[in-house]
This record gives sequence, C-alpha cells and structure tokens, in this order.
Amino acid sequence: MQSPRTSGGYIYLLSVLVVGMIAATVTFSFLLLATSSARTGIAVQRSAITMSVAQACAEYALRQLFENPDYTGNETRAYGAGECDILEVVGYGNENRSICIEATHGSVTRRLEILIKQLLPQVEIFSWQEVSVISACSY
Amino acid sequence: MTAYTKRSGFMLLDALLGAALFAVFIAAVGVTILVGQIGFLRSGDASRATFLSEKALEAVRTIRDADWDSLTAGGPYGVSLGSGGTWEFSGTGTTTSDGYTTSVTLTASGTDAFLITSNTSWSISQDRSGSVQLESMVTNWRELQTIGNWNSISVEGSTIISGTPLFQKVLVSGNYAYVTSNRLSGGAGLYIFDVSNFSSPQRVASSFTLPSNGHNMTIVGDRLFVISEDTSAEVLLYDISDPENLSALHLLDSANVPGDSRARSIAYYDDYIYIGATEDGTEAEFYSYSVTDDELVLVDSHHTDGTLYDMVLKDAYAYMASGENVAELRLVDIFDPADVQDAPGNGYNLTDTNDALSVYGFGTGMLLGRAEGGVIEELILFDIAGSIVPSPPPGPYYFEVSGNVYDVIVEPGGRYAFIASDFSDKEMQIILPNTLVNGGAAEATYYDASSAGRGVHYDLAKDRLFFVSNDTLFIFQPGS
Repeated sequence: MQSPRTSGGYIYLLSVLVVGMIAATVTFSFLLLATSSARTGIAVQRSAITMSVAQACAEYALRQLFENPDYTGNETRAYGAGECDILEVVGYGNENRSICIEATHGSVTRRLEILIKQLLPQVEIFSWQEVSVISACSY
Repeated sequence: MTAYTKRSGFMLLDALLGAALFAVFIAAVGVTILVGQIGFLRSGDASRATFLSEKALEAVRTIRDADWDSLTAGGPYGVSLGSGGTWEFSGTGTTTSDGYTTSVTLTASGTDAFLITSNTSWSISQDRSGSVQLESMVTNWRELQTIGNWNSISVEGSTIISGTPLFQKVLVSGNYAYVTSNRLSGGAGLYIFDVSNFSSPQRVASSFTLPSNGHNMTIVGDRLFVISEDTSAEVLLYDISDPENLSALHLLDSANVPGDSRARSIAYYDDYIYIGATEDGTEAEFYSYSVTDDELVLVDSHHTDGTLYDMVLKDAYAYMASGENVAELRLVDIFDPADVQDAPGNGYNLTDTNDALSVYGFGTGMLLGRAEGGVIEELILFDIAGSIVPSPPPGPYYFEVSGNVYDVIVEPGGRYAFIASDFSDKEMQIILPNTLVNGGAAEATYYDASSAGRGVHYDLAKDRLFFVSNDTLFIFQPGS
C-alpha cells in the first residue's frame, strides 16, 4: 500500500487534468455559444437584408399597379445583395387586388402578401403581412 | 533513503508539469473567453447596426407617407425625430449615444421612386468596428390621383364612322379604345382606335370584323373577351398584344353559350369569366367559365328570370342589370365559380317593370340604369355598405335621365358618374353621386350628341372620358 506522501504528485497531476478537462469543456461550450451567437448575428443581418429587398419589391409593384391596373407582376428584381420575385398579381380592375412577394438572400427567404382594397384614386391597403407560405397568389 | 530521494525528484517534476499544464489550460480558457467575448460583442454590434439601419429605412417611409415631396435625391442624410415627434432628415448622419452612426442615401429611380441605401457604421474599439448596409426602394404609391373639374367639359377629339355601325360599348386599354358595334347593320362588330393623341383618334385594324353583333367586353392584360351574337361562338377571346394588326388569326378560343346568340354581359375575376345571357325558358341565364392557358371551359350555370344585360363583380357577388320584373338588380353568389348560387334575397325589386340595362359599382355604392319609363326615374343609386343586397334605408337615390340608360360608369373616387342614354337632349350626362345622396341638384353637366349615347368609359390615369354614340367616338376633357 502506497503512502499519501508517495502519491501526492499523481493526485496533483490528476487534479490538474480533471480541472483542465472541466475548463476545456466550459471553454468549448463557450466557444460554441460564441459561434452560435455570431451565426445568429449573421442570420439577423441576412434576414433584415431580405426583408428590405421584399419591401422594395412591394413598393415597386404597388406603384406599377397604381400606374397601370393591368400590371401583371411575374418579374424578378434585384436590390443590393438580394433579389425578389413578384408573383402574378391577382384580381382585375380597381378593387380587390393581391400582390405577393418572395425575397431571397443566401439561404434566407421572406414572403409578403399585400391585399389591396382599391387602387384609384388612391391605393388603400386591406392587409400587408409577412407569411410563411403564400396563399393569396399562385406560383 | 534512496527511494525517498527519487520520489522527491518526481514530486518536483509532477508539480512543474502540473503547473505548466494548468497554466496552458488557464491561458487557453482565457484566450477562448476573450475571443468568444469579442465574437459576442461583434455579433451584438452587427445586430444593433442592422436594427438601426432598418429603423432608418422605416423612418424614410414615414417621411414619404407624410409628404412625398420631402424626399430628394442625395445624401448621406441623417434621420431623427423632430420637435413635433415626426421623423425628419437631419444632417449627414445620426449617431447614437453608444457610437453607431446611421445615414441614408437616396438615388432617384424615375420620377416616382428612390433607391434607399441605409448604412450604419461603428468604431468602438480596434476590434469592434464595422458597418451594415441595407438597400431598399420607396415609391410614391400613396399618391392621390387628382382629376380635373368635370362640372364642365369639352370635346377634345372625336371620330365618326360612316354608315350605320351602331356602336354599343367602349373600353380603353393603354393607347387603344375598343368599341363594339352592330354587325348586321353594316358595322364591323368591333372597332379599335388609337387614342394616344386625344385630339385625333385614329381607327386601326380596319379590316377586322366580328362574326356578329358585338356587345359587352372586358380586357385582362393583353386578352380581350368580347361578346358577340354569333350562334355558336358567343364568347370570343382575342390576343390584343398587337391591336393595330388584330385579325381573326388572333382568336385564341371561343365559347358556345347554350342556346343561340344569347350572351350579353361579361365580367372577369381570377381566371374565371362570368356571362349573362338573354332570358330563356329552358336554358340558364348565368354561366361561369374557367380561363386556363387561354382556354375557356364551362364550369357552372345558373337560372335567373330575365335577361342579364350588364354585370359587375363585387365581393364574390355578381351584380347584374336584369330584365327580371321582381329583381331589376339581380345578384348571384360566385364565391365558388363551380357552384353558383342565388344571393340571399336574389336582388332588389324596383317600382314598375322597366328592365335594368346597365350597372356599375364603386366604393359602397351601386348604380343601376333602367329603360325609360314615364313614372320612374331611370338612374338609381344603392347604398350597399350595410348589406350585400341593398336594404334601404339609406337610399336608394333616384335621378331622372329621361331616356334608356345604356351605360354608366363612375370615376374611382366616386366624385362623378357618367351616363350614356338615348335622351335626345342629353345623350351624355355627368352627375354628382354625393349631391344625389344629399338630395341636391345632381346634374353636373351634359353633352348633346347628334345620335343616341350607347357606351361610356372613364380612364382615371388619362383623366379622359370616352363616349360613343351610334356612330361617333368622343373623347372629353374636363374643364371648359
């Protein structure tokens, strides 16, 4: 049987290793959190870019429709780093029209549905909302 | 003693090794935490900058909402809340108390649009600096389309077709006016006029003819749906992407409405057309057709009493000018085009049995024009704000036209209604719906044409009125 006196170095070393492992685990976790945070930041940024592009397309489509109620949509536009699709405009004439926008930037996609009460003499919006799945228009 | 000496040496090595390892661990942990912390802070910086850039974009939209003329190309501009609590441009950038500077740059894109670049930059320390940029667009889609004073009018241009074309309806799309006419009396059935020059409308595609008399029509993009009295092809679908060279070759499809030559009215919504037909003892009067890839397919039909002369769609209902004696304003429910049903109450029964010939909806109003009658007023304005089928009060409101009201249209703002009738002194009349509702003298002005008024179309973008009598296309402008 070894005496405590002869095994003290091993205990110290083992303690350091254990503490080190714990520290390494904590550090690794912290690193993961930091990486995750960075990715979240990038996702927030991309999401904002995509929404600003979607809003740009919505503004463009509304103006087109205001100027010409026969505007049909069906076009792709690019703004900065993103691009958006204006789906086929739904409805006919001055009332009850729908505009749907799908904007993408990298892996981020955001969709808008705008239901228009009337176009002239001034555009009146019934609803303007972001949706996960477009249902007011067809692809 | 020997063993003790050896052990002490190992203890010292153990201690040194342990201390070294511990120092490595601590250093690694420290560095990682520092790097991680910087990552956290940078991520936070980017998120905050993104939020500030988004806020700046929304601020520009708010400024646009208040006054489009506040936007001028240039920049960088700062945006901030002014003393009145509203967003306004200020300086060349807006800096927050924690060191983020946001600015927007506006680049004109035509006369009614600006590209916006919203940039937020920060430099908090050597390791924490950067910028976020968002790009978007703002347009003047909230503009109020102003119109002229239609209390007085003048003819800006006109063109007469010789013979007896007996015009029926007029519709304008782009730079072209489409006018249906009688065919059997010698007319072409459909006339097309280049109206890019209001003072001098010119007929184009002059060799084109319909197979029979033309009636109502509707235009969707570059597709023209027109009703003819042909016995086997009452609904005709043409490609009008090149109106000046329209020919029979541009016929995409046609539909044979059951019975012979019965179709009269048409309306379109969301890949379906709806057809109203003359009264028949066995066949239905109302039909729905799907329009897919320029192919017309009968979907459903529905029986109503009385000829359906004119039609307008509103909120999943078809409002029709009908010959039905107990429902001159006839409604059907078209929520499901494959299952057309009577609307609750069927419609509205007016005094006497004069047929309704024309109908037009605007806002919460519905105008109905009737055949002339000695004891009735021929134009009726319904208030449909509270119910789908008119349920007065309030209204209805009546106006004496003194003739058959063949066509009626209201400018989209509801300020003026334009009437085509065969009243020999006032073939085209303009009335004020709001004045009619308030019980005042509603006639704004009129025009005395040399023959009966048949069709009328108002184009808000052009602020011009297109009116057809038996043989003439008139283009009116507001003001004297």
